[in-house]
Amino acid sequence: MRTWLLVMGLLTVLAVVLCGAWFAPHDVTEVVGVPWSGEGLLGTDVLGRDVLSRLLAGGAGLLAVAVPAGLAASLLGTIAGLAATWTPWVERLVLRTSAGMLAVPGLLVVLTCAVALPAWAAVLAGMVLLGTPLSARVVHAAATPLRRAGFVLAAVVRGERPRAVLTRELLPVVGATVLSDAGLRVVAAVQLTVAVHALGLGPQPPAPDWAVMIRENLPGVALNPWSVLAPAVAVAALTAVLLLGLDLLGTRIVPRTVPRRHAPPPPGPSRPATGVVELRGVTVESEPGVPLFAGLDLTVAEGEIVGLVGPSGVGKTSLLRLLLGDVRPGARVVTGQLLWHGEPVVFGSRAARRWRRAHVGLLPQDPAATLDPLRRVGSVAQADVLARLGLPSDIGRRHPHALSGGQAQRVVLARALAADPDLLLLDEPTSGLDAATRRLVTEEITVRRRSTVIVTHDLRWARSVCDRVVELRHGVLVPAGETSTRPRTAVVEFGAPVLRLEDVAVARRGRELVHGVDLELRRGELLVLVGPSGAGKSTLLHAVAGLHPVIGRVEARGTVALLGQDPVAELNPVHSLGSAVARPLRLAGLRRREARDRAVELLAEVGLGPEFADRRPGECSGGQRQRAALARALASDPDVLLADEPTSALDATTADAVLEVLDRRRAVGLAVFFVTHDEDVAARADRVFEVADGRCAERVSM
Amino acid sequence: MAAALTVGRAALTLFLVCLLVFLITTALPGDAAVIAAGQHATPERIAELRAALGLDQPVWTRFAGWLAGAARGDLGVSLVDGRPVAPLLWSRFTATLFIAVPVWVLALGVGTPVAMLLGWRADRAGSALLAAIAGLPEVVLAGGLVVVFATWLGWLPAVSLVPAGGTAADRPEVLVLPVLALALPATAWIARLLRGPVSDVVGRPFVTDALLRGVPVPVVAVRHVLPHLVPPLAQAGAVLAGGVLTATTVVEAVFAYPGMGQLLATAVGTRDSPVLQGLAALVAVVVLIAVLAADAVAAVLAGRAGAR
Amino acid sequence: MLEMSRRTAVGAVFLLALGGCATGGATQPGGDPGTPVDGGTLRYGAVAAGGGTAVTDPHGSLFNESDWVRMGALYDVLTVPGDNGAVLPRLASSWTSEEDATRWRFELRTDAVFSDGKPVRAADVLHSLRRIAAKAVQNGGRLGTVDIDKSTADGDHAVVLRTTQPDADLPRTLAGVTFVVPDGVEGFENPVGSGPFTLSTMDGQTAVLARNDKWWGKRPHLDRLEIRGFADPQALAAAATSGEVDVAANVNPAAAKTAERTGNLVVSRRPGATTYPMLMRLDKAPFDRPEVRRAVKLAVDRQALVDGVLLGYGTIGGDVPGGPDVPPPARDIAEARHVLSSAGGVVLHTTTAYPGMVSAATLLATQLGEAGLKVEVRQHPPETYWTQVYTVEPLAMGYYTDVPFPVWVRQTALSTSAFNETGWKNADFDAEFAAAMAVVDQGQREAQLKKLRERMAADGGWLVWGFGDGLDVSSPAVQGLPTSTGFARIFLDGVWLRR
Repeated sequence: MRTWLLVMGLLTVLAVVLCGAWFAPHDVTEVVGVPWSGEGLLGTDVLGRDVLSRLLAGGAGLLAVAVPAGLAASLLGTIAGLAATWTPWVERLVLRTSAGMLAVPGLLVVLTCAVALPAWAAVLAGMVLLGTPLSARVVHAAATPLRRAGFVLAAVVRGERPRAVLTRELLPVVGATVLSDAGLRVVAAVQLTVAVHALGLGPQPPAPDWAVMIRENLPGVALNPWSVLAPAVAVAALTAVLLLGLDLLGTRIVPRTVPRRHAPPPPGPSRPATGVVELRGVTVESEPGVPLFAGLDLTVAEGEIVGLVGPSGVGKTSLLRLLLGDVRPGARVVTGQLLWHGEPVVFGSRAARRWRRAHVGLLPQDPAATLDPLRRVGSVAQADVLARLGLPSDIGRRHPHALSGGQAQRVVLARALAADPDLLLLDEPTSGLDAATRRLVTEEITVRRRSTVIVTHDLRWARSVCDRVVELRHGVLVPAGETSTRPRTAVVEFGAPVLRLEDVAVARRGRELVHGVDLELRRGELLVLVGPSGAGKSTLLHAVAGLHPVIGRVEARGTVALLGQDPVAELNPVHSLGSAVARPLRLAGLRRREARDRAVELLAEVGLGPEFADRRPGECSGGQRQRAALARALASDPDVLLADEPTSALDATTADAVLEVLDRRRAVGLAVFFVTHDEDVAARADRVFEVADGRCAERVSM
Repeated sequence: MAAALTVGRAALTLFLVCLLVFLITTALPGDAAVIAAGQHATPERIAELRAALGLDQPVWTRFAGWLAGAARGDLGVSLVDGRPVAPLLWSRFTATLFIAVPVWVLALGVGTPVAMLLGWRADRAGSALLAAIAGLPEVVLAGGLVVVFATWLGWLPAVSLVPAGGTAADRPEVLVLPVLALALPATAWIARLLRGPVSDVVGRPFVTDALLRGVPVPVVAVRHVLPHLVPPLAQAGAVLAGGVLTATTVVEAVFAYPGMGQLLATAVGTRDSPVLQGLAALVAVVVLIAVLAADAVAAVLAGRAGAR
Repeated sequence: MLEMSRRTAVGAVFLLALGGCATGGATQPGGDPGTPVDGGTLRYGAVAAGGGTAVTDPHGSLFNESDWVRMGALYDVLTVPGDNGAVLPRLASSWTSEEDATRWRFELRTDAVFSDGKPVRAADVLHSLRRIAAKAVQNGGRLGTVDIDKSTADGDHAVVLRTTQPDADLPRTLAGVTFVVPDGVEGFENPVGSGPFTLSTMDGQTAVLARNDKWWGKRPHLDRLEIRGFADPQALAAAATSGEVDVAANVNPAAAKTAERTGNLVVSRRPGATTYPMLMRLDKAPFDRPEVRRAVKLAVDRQALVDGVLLGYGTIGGDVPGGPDVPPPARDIAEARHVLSSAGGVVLHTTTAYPGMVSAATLLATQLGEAGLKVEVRQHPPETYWTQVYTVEPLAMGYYTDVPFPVWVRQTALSTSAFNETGWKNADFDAEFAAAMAVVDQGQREAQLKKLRERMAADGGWLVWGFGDGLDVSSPAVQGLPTSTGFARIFLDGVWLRR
C-alpha cells in the first residue's frame, strides 16, 4: 500500500519537474529587467530574464536525458552483473573491464562522447561506458554469495534455464541493491548531464536548463545569488528525491525477515518458586494484542538441568532469549520478571547485557552461522574444551569455513563453556551430530552439574540428560508427555534402477573426499547415507545432482529433485510459498491457475494449510519452511529425491511428518537418496550406506 | 607465478588504458595545432604548426614513439609550451596529493563510521542527508563553503594560493576548504556505498549472536563488523583513489589550486596529448595499484572466510 | 597580435567555477592618490588558461595574460602604446620612416643594459626580431609587415626595418610586443632582459620579480612584483575580493560590477578592449543582399546589448572596429521588419569560448526576432568553432581585441586576406587602403582610414554593436595602473602602492 504511495509520489515529483514550464509567470526568453537584478521572486539572470520562469521550465530537459541514461546503465550493469555471477568468463570480463574503466579519466571519456555525439547520446554513452561496469560490479558482489543458496541449487536441479534462475531467483533477492544502485546511477547521470549541458553541448540558448543556468549565471552569483542557487538547489533536490525514492522502493519490495507468530495462547497456571534463575509471570506480545507467552513461569535450580521440548514454531528459541534477559526484535514484554538469585534483571537493558556476559553461556540454533568467518577457532574457545569435545588438535588454527556443521556446533558449545558460566543455555545441542560425538557432548554437559536449560526436539535424549523436561505448548510450560514413536514404513516392492553410481569420486578444494562409490537406487527405495561430519556426504549428493564436478559415472534415469538442509536458505525470501511450489509445475507446462491449485494441494500434502500459499518464508518457522521446500521438491513428481539432511533442523513431530510424506510418495515409486546423521531415519531405510575414511560401503549389520 | 600473472595483467591493462586515452585524444575534434593557431589561423599555418609539433605523423607512429619514450621514463614535452612532461606532472601530482590524501583518509575514516551508524539503525533521515550531499553540484558546495568560511566568518582564505616557489605545506590553511569541498561528497558516497554491506553484516548470525551473548556494541562493531567491511571498503578506496586525483578539476579551479585536475582540463582543452598521456598513465598506475591491493585484501579475507 | 584571442579560450570552458561571493563591508575607495611612494610588493593576478603552464620564450606563443605581463616586466620593447592611438618611445628613443613607409629607422637608447651587465645593442634587437619572425606561426605574425630578411642594424644603436608593403602604422603594430633578448640567446630558463624587473623565482603558477635598479627608465616604485596565473576568471575575481591579490586584471563585467558593489575595490576601465561583433557573410544568402544587412543593423538595440552583455561597461559601436567614432544608424524596427520578415529563418552560430559571445548572440537573436527575423542560436566548443564555423557559416559571432585597425584590415578585410571573415572582397578598397597606409602623416592617414571605415560600416557584413571596456579590479592602495588600450596594459613599471 505504502509502496504504491511511494511510487505515486516519485512520479508526481517527476511530473512536476517535467511540466514546470506551464507555471512560469514569464516567457523564458523575455527580458524583464537589468541583468542580475532583484526583479521578480528569484531575480533576473545574465540577460535580465526571470530566473523563476527559467527555473520552472529548466528541469524537464535535464530529467528527460538523465533518468533514462542512468536507468539504462543500471539495467545493463544488472544484466552483466547477474551474468557474471553465472558465467566465469563474463565474471572475469566484468571485473577487469570495471577495474580498467576506473583507471581511465572519466572527464576524457565524457568529453569525447560529448563532442562526437548529441548531448543526450553522449550522456547515455558516458553512463554506459563508466556506470555499467560499476553497476555490474555491485550487482555481482551482491548476488555471488547467493550463488550456492539452497533455493538456487534447487532451481538448477529442477532444470531451470540459467536466465530463469538469474531473473526469477537471484534478481528479486538482490532487488534492493539493484534499486539502490539505480539511484546512484541516475544521480551520476544527472551530474553528467549537468556537466555536458554546462559545457554548452546540450540545449542551445535561449532554452532554459538548470545546468546552463548555473553556468551562465556564475559570473553574477554575487549580484543575484538566486540565479545560481535556485537551479543548483533544484538539481540537488531532484537527485536527493530520486536517490531516496529508489532506496525506499528497494527496502519496500524486499520482504521482512522477522517471522510472524499466529497462535494466541491462553494464560497458564503460575507456580511460585525460587532458584538460580527464574522467569516469573512473563507475558510477551509479538505484536500489539498478539501474545507470544502468557504468564510464563520457569525456575532453574542450582545445578539443575532442564530440558525444553515442543513442536517447531512454538517459541522455544524465544523463551531462551527471555532467559538471556532480552526479547527478540518486534516483541514486547508486557508483564513479568526475570530474576537472578532473586534479583530482577530488566529485559533488554544494558545491565542485562552485562549480566549475561558475566553469567550466561549460549549455544544458539544454527551455531555454524554464529562463528565470525574471519576469526580462527582458537580465538573463540579453549583448546582443552575443544579436545574434550573430540575435535582434532589443529582445530584452533582453522577458520570457520574449514569446519563441518557438526564441528562448528561443538566449537560453539566450547565457546559457551569457555567461561564456565553459571547458567548454560543450549538450543538443539545435538542436532546434526553422529552418535559418537553426541556422547562426548552429553558428557560435557552433564559433568558440569551447573544450571542448564536445553532446547531439543529429541525427547528421548532429553530424558536421559535432564533432571526434568518441560514442554512449551501454546505459550505456557507443562511437564513433557510421552515420547512419540515412529512407525516403521510399509515395505514396498522396488522397481527398476533410477540412479546408478559407478566408481564415483568427489573432491573438494583439490582434496579427495570419497572415492570408489558404487551404488544403485531403485524405484520406491529409501537409501540412506550416513557418516561423520565432513566426510563428504553432502558433496557426493551435490555431485549426483550435477552441482559439483564428479569423477566417475553417474547415471540417472528420470527427473531429479533436491531438498537441502538449511531451512533459511531453502526458499527464496521474495517468493510466497505458493509460488515457490508452483514454479516447478509452471516449468512443466501447467497454466498459472492449475499450478496454483496444485501447489495448494502439495502444501496440504506436507501439512501446510491453504493460508500458507500467500506467506513468504520470512513469515514462517523453520519447520514450516522445510515442509514447503519438500512440497516444492515433490511438485514435479520427480523419480529421484536427493535429500541432504532435510530433517536435521526439525523437531521430532515435523521430522516425522516429512518422513511420512516421503513414505507415501515412495509407495508410488519415488526413490529417495537421503543423507543424514539421524539413526532414527537410518532405521527406516531400505539400505544404509556409510561414508568413512574416504570409502563408501553398505552397512551390513542390521 | 600468480603474482607474475597479476602484474602482467595489470601491465596489459595499463597499456590498454594508455592506448584508449591516445585514441580518445586523437578522436577529439581539433588538435594541438588547431588550438594553438587560434582564431585567425590559415590552413597553411595550422599545417606548419602541425609539422612543427610532429602531429603530421600517423597515429600509430606517434603512439609507438610515445610508448617507447615512456618505457624509458621519457614522457615527452608539452605541445603547448615545449617543456618536459615528467617534471610538470610530478609537481602537479605532489600538489594534488596535498588535497587528495586528506580527502581519501577523511572519506574512508569518516564514511565508514557513518555507514555503520546508518546501516545499523537503518536511519532514514541520515540517508536523506547523505543523498542531498551527494547530489549537490560540486561547484555549489565549494562556493557555499567559500561564502560561509571565507566571506562571512573570514576564518579561511577564499582562494588557495600557495606561496611562490613553495608548497601547500607552507600554508596549510589554504587546503582546508578544497579538502572539505571534496571530502564531504566523497564521505557521503563512501557512507552510502557501505551502508548496504553494513546492514548485511549486522544482520548475520554471528553479529546478532554476539550481541545476544552480551558483547558490548562497540566491541561487536570493531571485532565482528568492521573486518567484514574491509573488502568493500578496499574496493571503494581504490575507486576513490582514482577519483580524488582527477575529479578535483572543479574544486581546483574554484580555489585556483594548481593540481592534476586543472592540468587535465587544460590538457584536454589544448589537446596537449603528451601531457594527457602522461597524466592518464600516472592515474592508471595509481588506480591499478589500488585495485590490485583491494583485490588482494578481498582474496585474503575470502580465503579466511572460505568463499571461493 | 591576435594571440590575445586565445588567452582564455581554452580551459576556462571546462571550469564551471564559482567564486567571488563577496559581501564584505564597504570602505570608501579612490580619493586623492597623493604622491607616489616607493616600496612594497604588488600581487598581480591575471588569467592563465593553463592555470600555471608558464611559457618562458618571449617570442613564441604567449598563451596566458600572466605570461604577457611577466615578459613586459622582464624585457624592453621598441615602442609602447599610448592614449588615443599614440605610440610612445621605450627602447627606441625615436623613429622615422623613409621611402613611402616601407623603410623604418629606429634609434635605440644608449643607456639600456641587460641584467647581466652587457649593454643593449642593435644586434640584440635584430636577433630578437629574427626570432619573432621565425616563430611567426606560433605568435600569429607578431611583426606584421616587417620583412626581416631585408632589415639590418645600423651601428650599435639603430635598426633599419624594411616592410613588404607601405605601412605607416608600423610603430603601432610593433608597440608592446618586441621583447628584446641578448644576441644569440635561445634558452630562457634564467631570463636575461633589460626591463624594469628581474626574475627572482618562478613556478607553474607564480613568478616573483624584483626591481631592476639598473633599468634606464624612471625607477619603478615597487620592490617586488608577484604575477600569479589563475585558470579560472571567477577564482581570480575571488582572490581580489578577498585580498589575496592586489590586482585582478582583465576580469569580466560581472566581476567588476560585483567588486564595485562591495565598495572596497576599485574598478579601472580601459576603453575599447573587446567586442563581440556579429558577422554576416556577403557571399551567402540572405546576407548577400545589402538591404538585409542594412535592416539587421537597423533592427538591433545597441544600448540594450551594451547594458545586457557588457553590464554597461562599454560604448555603442558603429559597425566597424577601430573605435566608436563612426556613428551607428538610428534604430528603426519598422523599416527593418519590412525587409527581414521576408528573409526567412537563419542560424546564428556562436561559441562558448567567451561567455559574452553566447550572451550577445542570445540577445541579438531575441532582438532580431522582434524585427521579424527568426534566429536560432547554436553554440560550439571553441576547439571547433574557429576552424569549422567562423568564416564558414553565413551568420556567426566574432571576437575582437583592440588590435590596431590596419592590422585587423590586413588579416580579415582585404581580397588577399587569408582569413576574410565576412567575404568583403573589393579591389577599390584594397587599393585605397594601401594608399592610406603609405601616408606618413598621421592625421591625414587617420582621415583617409576613417572614410574607409565609414564605407565598411555602411556596406559591410560587420555588426559591431559596441566596444567593451578592459576591466581591472584592484585594491584602493594600487595606483598608477596602465589605462591605455592594447598592450599598454602589460607594462607595470609605473605602479605604486599607497600606504
